[in-house]
Amino acid sequence: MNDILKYLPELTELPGISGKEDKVREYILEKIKDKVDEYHVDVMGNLITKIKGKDSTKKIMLLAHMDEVGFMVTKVNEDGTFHISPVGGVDPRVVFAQRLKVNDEILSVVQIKPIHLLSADEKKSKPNYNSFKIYTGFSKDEIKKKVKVGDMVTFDTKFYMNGNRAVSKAFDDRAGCAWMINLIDKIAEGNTPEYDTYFAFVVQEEVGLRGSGVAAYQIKPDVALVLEGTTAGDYPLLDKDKWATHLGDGPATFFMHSGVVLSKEIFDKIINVAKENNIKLQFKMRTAGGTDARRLATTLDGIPSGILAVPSRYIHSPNTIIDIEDYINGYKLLELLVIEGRILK
Amino acid sequence: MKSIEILKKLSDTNGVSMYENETKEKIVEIAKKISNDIEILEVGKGSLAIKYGNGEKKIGLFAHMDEIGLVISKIVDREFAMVHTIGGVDPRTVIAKRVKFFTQKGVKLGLVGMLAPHLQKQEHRNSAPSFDNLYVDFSIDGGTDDIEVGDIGVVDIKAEELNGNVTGKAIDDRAGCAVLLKTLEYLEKFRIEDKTVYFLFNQGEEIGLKGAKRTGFEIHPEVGIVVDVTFGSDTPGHFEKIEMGKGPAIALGPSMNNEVTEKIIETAKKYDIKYQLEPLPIRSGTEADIVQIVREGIKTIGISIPILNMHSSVEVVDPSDVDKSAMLIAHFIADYGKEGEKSE
Repeated sequence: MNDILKYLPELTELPGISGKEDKVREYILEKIKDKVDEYHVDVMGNLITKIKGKDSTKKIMLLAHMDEVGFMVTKVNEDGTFHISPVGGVDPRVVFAQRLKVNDEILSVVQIKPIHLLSADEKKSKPNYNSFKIYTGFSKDEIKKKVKVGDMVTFDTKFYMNGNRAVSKAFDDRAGCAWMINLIDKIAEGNTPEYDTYFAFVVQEEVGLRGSGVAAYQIKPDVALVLEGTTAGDYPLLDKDKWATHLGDGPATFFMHSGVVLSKEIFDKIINVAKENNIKLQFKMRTAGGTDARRLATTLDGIPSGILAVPSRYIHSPNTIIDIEDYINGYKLLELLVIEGRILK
Repeated sequence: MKSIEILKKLSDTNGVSMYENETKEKIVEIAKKISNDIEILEVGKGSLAIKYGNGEKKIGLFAHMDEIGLVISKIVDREFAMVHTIGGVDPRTVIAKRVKFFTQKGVKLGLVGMLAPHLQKQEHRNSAPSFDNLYVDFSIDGGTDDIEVGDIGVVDIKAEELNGNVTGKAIDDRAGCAVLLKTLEYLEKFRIEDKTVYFLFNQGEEIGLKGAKRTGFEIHPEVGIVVDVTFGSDTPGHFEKIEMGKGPAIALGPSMNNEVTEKIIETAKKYDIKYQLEPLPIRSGTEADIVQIVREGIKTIGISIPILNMHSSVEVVDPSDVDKSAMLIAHFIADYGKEGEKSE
C-alpha cells in the first residue's frame, strides 16, 4: 500500500468520541514521539508537538481533531438494553438497525420494530434517539457490570478500499490526523521544514470546537492550517450546483464557512501552490458547517487560518466514502505548504 | 454440531427468495455431517427435501431457506443505482449500510448512501427515505459498469455471537432451518422405524409461500410442522408476550390443526420442555397458511422461534430456543401414532 495510506485505515477504525480521544492519542503518540523535538499532552487532552525549522522567527501550526462523532450511554435498563445520545451531530437515520460497540469491545445492536408491526405513519417516520433501545444480550446482572452510564459507543466499521475509493467511519477527522503523521515521517527523513512547525492533534471539535483554542493559545502561531474531512454532497438527489464538494475533484479549501471568513492571503497561497504544482484543488461551495478555524479566529488576537479538507461522502455516518486521489493530493499540497514554508512566504 | 455454529453458517449464506442455491448447498453439507442415513431429494422445482427413515407414516417439517433482499431496478450513472426489494424490507434498515450484489463479474460491494441531512431538501429532512430517494453507491467497488438490472443483493454483514445469542442478516428463517437440522440430529438417537420424516427446506416464502406449496403438494405428508420465526419484541399489548430464551412458541389459530397442536403441547409437558403459546387469530404469516390447504388438506402445526429485529441485518436469536424446539419436534415425531396403536 502507498506509504501515504500507512496510517489512515487503522486511525479510522480506532474509537474516540469527543472527550474520550485517548486511544487515538496513544496511537498517534506512539508513531511520532521519536520523530519530533518536543511534545506534551495538555489538560484538555490535546497532543501538541513541535519540530524545529530552519528559521525559528515564525511558527506554523497544523491542526487536526482526533475526535469523531459517536454516542454516550445515557441510561442502562434491567432487561440488558441501554440507551444512547449522540456526541456530535449524527442523524438518527444512519443509526437505525446498526451494530454499535461499547468501549470498543462489547457488540450491541440497535433494536427496531419489525416492518410487519409498523403502522403506515410509523413507516414514514424518522427514527429518533429517545426511541432507540440498544440490545446486548446481557442479563440484568451482567449489564450492570459491563455497561455504565457515560460509556463510549461507536460505530462497528472496518476500513475497505478498492481502486480510488475508500470507505470507513471517522475520516472526519482521522484523515487530517493521518496527513500530519505522514508529514512528520517525511520531515524525519531529513526534510527540515522552513519554519518551526507545530502539530496540534486536538480534542472535542465535534461538540463545539473546544480543543483547538486551548492548543493554539499555548502555541501562539503566526499562521494556522486546519486539516479536515468535509461534506461531499455529490448524490443523485442533489443538483450539481448544490454539491458542497465532489469526490475526485481534489482536496477542498474554503473561502469562508459558518462563523469565519478565512484569511484571503492564505487562501490565495493555497491556490497558487496548487496551481504551480498542477495539484487538483476544489472550493467548498457551501458555507454551512464549520471547522476549528472558527475558534482560531477568536483565539489570542485572532490567528489567520487556511483550510485543507478531504471531501467525505456520507460524513458523520458509519460508512463514509473518500477518494484516495483527493487524499493523496491534499497530502502533497500540505507538504509543499509546510516543508517549503509556502503558507507564510 | 452446535446450534450457534449452524445459525452463523446459515445466516452467512446468501439466499434471497428464488436465489437460494448457496443456502441449499450449505444445508446439505451440514445435514451430511449430522447423518449418514439421509437421502437428498430435489423437490418443488428448486426446494430441498432431506428424507430420513422408511416408515409408512409421513411427517413433513417445513422451513424456508430464503431471505429478504434487494434487486437492482435502475442504473443511474457510473456510480449510483436504484433498487427494489424482494420481500418486506424497511428502507430505514439499509441506510448507511454496506450491501453486496451478485453480478456476472462476481460480488460487488455497494453502500446505501443518505445525503448529509443539511444538504437534504426540506421535505426529506424529517421523514424516512423510501426506495424512491435512496441510491446504492457502487463507487467503492469500481462503479456500476458491472452492475445489471436484476442483480440480487443483501446487506454485507457477518453473523456474530452476541453474548450467547447470534446476530445476523438472515435469522428469518435460517433459525427454522437450524431447528430442522438439529431435529435430524436428535432423531438419530430415537427409534422412528414406522415413520418417514421429510425435512423440507423451501424456496420463496418471503414472496408469498411459493416453495412450501410445491413441496407440500409433492411430498404430501400426513402431518406438517412449520418452523418459522416470530416477534420476540413489540408484541401488541393485548397479545401474550413472546420472549427470547423461553422456548418454542406453539402456534394457536385457524391455520393450525387443533388435535395435533394439543398433542405437541402434551409432548412439551411430558418431556418438560419450556414452551410458549402464540395466538394467531387469522393468518399465521408462515408457511402453515398454505401447507394446511394443499391438496385435500394437511394436518398442520406451527412452531416459532422468537427473534429480535425481524427483517433487518441485526436479527437476533437465542440458540437455546433452537435446541428446545428441535428437541420438542424430535420427541413429537418419535411418539407420534403410539397412542393410536395402543387403542387399535
